[in-house]
Amino acid sequence: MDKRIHDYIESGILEAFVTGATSANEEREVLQMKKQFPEVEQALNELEIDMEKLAMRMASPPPPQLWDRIESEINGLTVTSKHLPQHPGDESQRSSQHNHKPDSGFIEVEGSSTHMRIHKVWRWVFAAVFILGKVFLGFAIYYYLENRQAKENIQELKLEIRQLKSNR
Amino acid sequence: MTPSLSVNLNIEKAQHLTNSDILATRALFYRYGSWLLGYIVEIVKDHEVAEQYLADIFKEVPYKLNELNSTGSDSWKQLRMLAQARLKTAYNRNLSGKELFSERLKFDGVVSGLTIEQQIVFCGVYYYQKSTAILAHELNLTDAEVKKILREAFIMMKNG
Repeated sequence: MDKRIHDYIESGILEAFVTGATSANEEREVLQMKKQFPEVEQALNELEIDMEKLAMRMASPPPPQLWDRIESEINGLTVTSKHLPQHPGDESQRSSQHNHKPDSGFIEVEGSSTHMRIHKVWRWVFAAVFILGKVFLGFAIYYYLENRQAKENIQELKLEIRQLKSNR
Repeated sequence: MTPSLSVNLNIEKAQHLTNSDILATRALFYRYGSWLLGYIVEIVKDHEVAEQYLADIFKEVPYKLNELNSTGSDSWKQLRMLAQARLKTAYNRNLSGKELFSERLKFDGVVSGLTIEQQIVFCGVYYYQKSTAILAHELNLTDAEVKKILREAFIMMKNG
């Protein structure tokens, strides 16, 4: 190996290059040397393999559902963007269809979350609705039973009237 | 950059995404996801936080595929650079050489076989993305000396 190339490889500049610690000029120089000298290219390849081995030693597998989450977020963004107007003409058409002001500064975003957050005051409203629901249910049952009782009384009275008529 | 502006920019960019961009990103995730997560965990020392960073980085990857897949580029290096850019504000503080002396102990599992000087230089460039020129200035050494130390560190780790 040419002594100059040997010294260049031994200088540590290639290690600095693979870790991203070189200046822009040094980076250009390394890439140039890589093109010109196969020894430099080979040394760089070996260093990249060393870096990958180091990364493998430290690797930590991500949770299985993480890619799905990333993909759905990327896709969500893309799908939303497909609904954005492509031409100025589309904008006016879309705004007339959806009664949406073109210069309102808002973009419709379809959230992927299935949950919603509401103000705490709604919990009292829900509690009141629940209690009122129970009260109405109680009244309904009461009046139903009353009604049934009244119907039974009427039936009995009718029966008595019929019996009295037949006795005469 | 405010979050809303960031979202707007992503929406602008998202218009150019194709299915093959998503597939290429998925291939990179399955090849490098565990490496990058391990790398980020080393820096942030919190698995959940690291996972969030990993997700954020891979949401950016589809827009950087040209750089990551260009001929001769080292995808793993490019992904590390992306991670460094993300971590810069929160974790990549502008540590001086002396501060690196204690910070290097965070990465003891990886660099324990190296000399203190090698640990400082290696952690400086690998985890804190410092250039050899900056490290040379901070450590009162020449740039050539720092590069030599870095090379020795690589040889030690390879053989260790």
